[in-house]
Amino acid sequence: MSADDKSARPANVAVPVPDRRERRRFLGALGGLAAVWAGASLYPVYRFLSPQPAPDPFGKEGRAVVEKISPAEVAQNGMGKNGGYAGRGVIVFRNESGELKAFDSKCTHAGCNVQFQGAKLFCNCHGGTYDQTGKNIAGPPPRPLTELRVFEDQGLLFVARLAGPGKG
Amino acid sequence: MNYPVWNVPILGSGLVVAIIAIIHILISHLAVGGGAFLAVAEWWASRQADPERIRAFLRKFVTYFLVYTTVFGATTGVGIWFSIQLANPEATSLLIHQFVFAWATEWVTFIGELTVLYFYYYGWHTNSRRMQLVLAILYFVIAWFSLFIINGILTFMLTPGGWTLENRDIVAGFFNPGYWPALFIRTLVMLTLAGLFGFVVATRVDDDLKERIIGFAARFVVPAALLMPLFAAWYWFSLPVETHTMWHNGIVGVAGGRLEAITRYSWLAAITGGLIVIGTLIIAWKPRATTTTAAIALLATAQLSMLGGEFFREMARKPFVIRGVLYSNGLWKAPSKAPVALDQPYFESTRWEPDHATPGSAAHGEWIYRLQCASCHTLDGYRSLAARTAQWTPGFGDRFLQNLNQQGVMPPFQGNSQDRAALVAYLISLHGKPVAAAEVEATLAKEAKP
Amino acid sequence: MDERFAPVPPEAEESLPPPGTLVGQGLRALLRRYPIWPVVAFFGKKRVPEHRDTGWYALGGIAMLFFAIQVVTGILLMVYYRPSQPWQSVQRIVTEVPYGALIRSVHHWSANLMALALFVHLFSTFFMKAYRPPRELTWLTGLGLFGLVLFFSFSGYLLPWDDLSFFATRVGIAEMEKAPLLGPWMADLLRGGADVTVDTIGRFYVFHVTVLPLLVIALLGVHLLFIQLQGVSEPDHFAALPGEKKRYRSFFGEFLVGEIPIWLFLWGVVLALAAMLPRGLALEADVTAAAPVGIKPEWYFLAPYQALKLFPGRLELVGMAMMGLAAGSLLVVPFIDRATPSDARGRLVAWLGAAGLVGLIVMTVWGLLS
Repeated sequence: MSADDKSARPANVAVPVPDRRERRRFLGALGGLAAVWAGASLYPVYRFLSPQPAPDPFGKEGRAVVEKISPAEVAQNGMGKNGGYAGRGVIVFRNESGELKAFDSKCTHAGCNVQFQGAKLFCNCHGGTYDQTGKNIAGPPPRPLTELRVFEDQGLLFVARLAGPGKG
Repeated sequence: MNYPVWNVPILGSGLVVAIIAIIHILISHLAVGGGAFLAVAEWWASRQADPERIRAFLRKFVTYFLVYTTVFGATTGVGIWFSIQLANPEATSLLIHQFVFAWATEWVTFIGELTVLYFYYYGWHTNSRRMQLVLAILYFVIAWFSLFIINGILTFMLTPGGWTLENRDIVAGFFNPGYWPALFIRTLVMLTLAGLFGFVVATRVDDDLKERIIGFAARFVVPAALLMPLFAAWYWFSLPVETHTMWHNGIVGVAGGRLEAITRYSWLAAITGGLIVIGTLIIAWKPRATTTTAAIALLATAQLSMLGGEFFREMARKPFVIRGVLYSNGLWKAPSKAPVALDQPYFESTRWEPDHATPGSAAHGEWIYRLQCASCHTLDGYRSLAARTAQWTPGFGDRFLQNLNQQGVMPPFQGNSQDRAALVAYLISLHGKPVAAAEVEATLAKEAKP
Repeated sequence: MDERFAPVPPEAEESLPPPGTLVGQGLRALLRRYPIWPVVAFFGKKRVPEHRDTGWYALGGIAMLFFAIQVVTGILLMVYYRPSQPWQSVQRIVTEVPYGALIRSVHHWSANLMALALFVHLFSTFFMKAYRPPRELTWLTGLGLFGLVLFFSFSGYLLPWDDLSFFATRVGIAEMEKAPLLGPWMADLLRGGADVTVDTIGRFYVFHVTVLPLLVIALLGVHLLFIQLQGVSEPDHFAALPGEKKRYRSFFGEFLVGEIPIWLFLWGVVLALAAMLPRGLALEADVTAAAPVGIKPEWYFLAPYQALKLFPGRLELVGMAMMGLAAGSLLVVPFIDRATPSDARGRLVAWLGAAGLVGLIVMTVWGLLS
């Protein structure tokens, strides 16, 4: 307490009581502002945790090498196999007409990798079935498989987007 | 080149300016905001049932305020004058010559506000209440006008706007694109600091009064809490595109050499700003539990916020001291008043040539460091050159100097191949074995052979 | 009255917000289902004596603030850190992940400030003689916590697997190895072999993110419970006051609320340090390369590091024994200095502690400057 205070206060004046309702409203508003500032301050944490945009699987050259399948393994009509490209699954096979075909093996139903079974492509998880054009013919899958362009280059198989740049 | 060279080991001359200035900013903004506080508080007191009790608090407020702002404000303000002259006489000279009447008016406002404040303080018991209110308002207006002026000069350095060395359009330079957003931002900061200082003084009176003053002072924080994001966004859009690039580069960390600290400083300013709002909420919620230490802690948090903001503003301009016109190390950007062919021998373009820095001498490289690099880099302290060149080979160093300006965060190197070799030799020598410039030139010649 | 619900005690009615408000209704609903009011009232009674040294009571809370920052930033870093690719993952955090460098620097600086706060907390409780009966166990659990935190720092330091980490850990464990009898066995167990390898990271990582956090949280809970049960210790000059002169502040309503702005400021300090002095990453640990020039332990280990230099060669064991004794003496202090108010023995203990503190500071500064 300072001496100033005591001497300045007349004895018979009531000290005004702050309006409780007004105080609660002010604190509520300030609380809302504080919450907004605190939330905004968490933005760097949000950016830290947010996954980076996935890099293009076909990279700068517009193509990705096929793993686990060699050209010899799809040399004859009817031969085919599951393999991989850029960390995803792929099915490469040679159909009855002698064309080399490739499909991203991710089933359009729930994401399991579809298995090459000769005339058809079968998903073991829920029985989804695709034909050799990738079209969904039976079971739960709602859409056909994603087709990829496939070609051979210097003894390796490569896949690329269906319509787009890429050597080969 | 800046001469004489002010060599400050470990900190560097720029950091000395920064330390003084950052302390000054808190005090000066508080000095203006406090004026608003006094004026509004005088008015508020007259509407209370016990005005004399509130005024007794104000008396305490203005006593602390007067001593704190005049003593430390004047000391650090003059400290800025001293240090900027020594750190960068070239830039200081340009600012003085361009804005001489602005500087003069600024001094008039200083004298004016102090005179009014003294009348307010010493006339406390003799002046009428109405006169006190008028004096408080007058003080605030004059003090805010001092911000109005200095803001033009300060923002001119980052965004000279339509001003060029040729047209010297001081109105365009003064009211540049960054002027108005910065003016609003600083005014909001001033009001906030006034509220925080009010908290500190409130903790020195009895609980009842303390509670009421804190409730009153808390309202001064609200304008900034509401409007700062708006004006910060406006300010962001007034910044040059190079600053935006610098800031985005800094998001992904310590790339090194790209001034990425600017991003961290901006987040320091923003997050501590939020902490001030939260702290004000706590204090307003439990005023009786607020101690002087807690209130001072909040004011210190505001200082940290201003540290972040001012460092951001300064880094945004690098490598220039006057953006687009004058580099921090004294090199004028073409077209300029003294066009310099960058690949001439360096000491032919400098205003003074140190006798002992003849090409080939050991001092040659050291003097190139002092005149071209020391404005921003210390040898082994702040922005240490020794640390940055630890892996240098003669070939790498020479190529680096030739492409110095490429990333946009460094000025171009001034000098011919001999100058480069001298500097490279000097920098490599910092890591242990002394290397002569002649050795470096020989190594470069050998590597150049196909 | 519905027998499934417990009645709300009248004392509770006074302290709760009015039944008309949402909060008031919610709290009453909780109390009717979980009759915990006696527990709440018990915690609410905690009070802090008000005297010239009251400020020091805030240090424990400040250490807890830094610990909380460590937990949050540590969890964030764990999202990207890979113990099998330690240096590369830290490099990725610092150069590729948005704000990774900032969060890592915050983690580094908050660790240092926590160590500093704990040193101050240890010495302030020592000089205020808060260890005296009946608070011996509070002191001992506190020392246990301090040891755990030092191990936290030591284990975390290795994780980036750069030059500095590698040699610092090697030296630290080598010193441990010199302890008689158990030394080599403990060192091998810690290292996961005869030398510090990436396998050591596996062990240190598990300690740093699982074992130590669980131990610290458990011991901290016990430490705080003891204080809650016994009340905050009162220094002699306060205890000597007549009853009506003694003033107290309620802990939760007043003291804690007064602490919060200080915590906000300290969080700002950590951010400022992270902005101005970000933590760098040295070159990846190379088992074959020479240790970096001028390598030194972190400041909190500098005192023993510098002191050991005074005991060259064979004398090293003597030096270590003496330091062990000094540290061990902290453990027995509550059993030696028991008198309230303090007696001659208490004053001697205080002087010895002051000498120890001065020695610690001198050795640390000497270590920094040399």
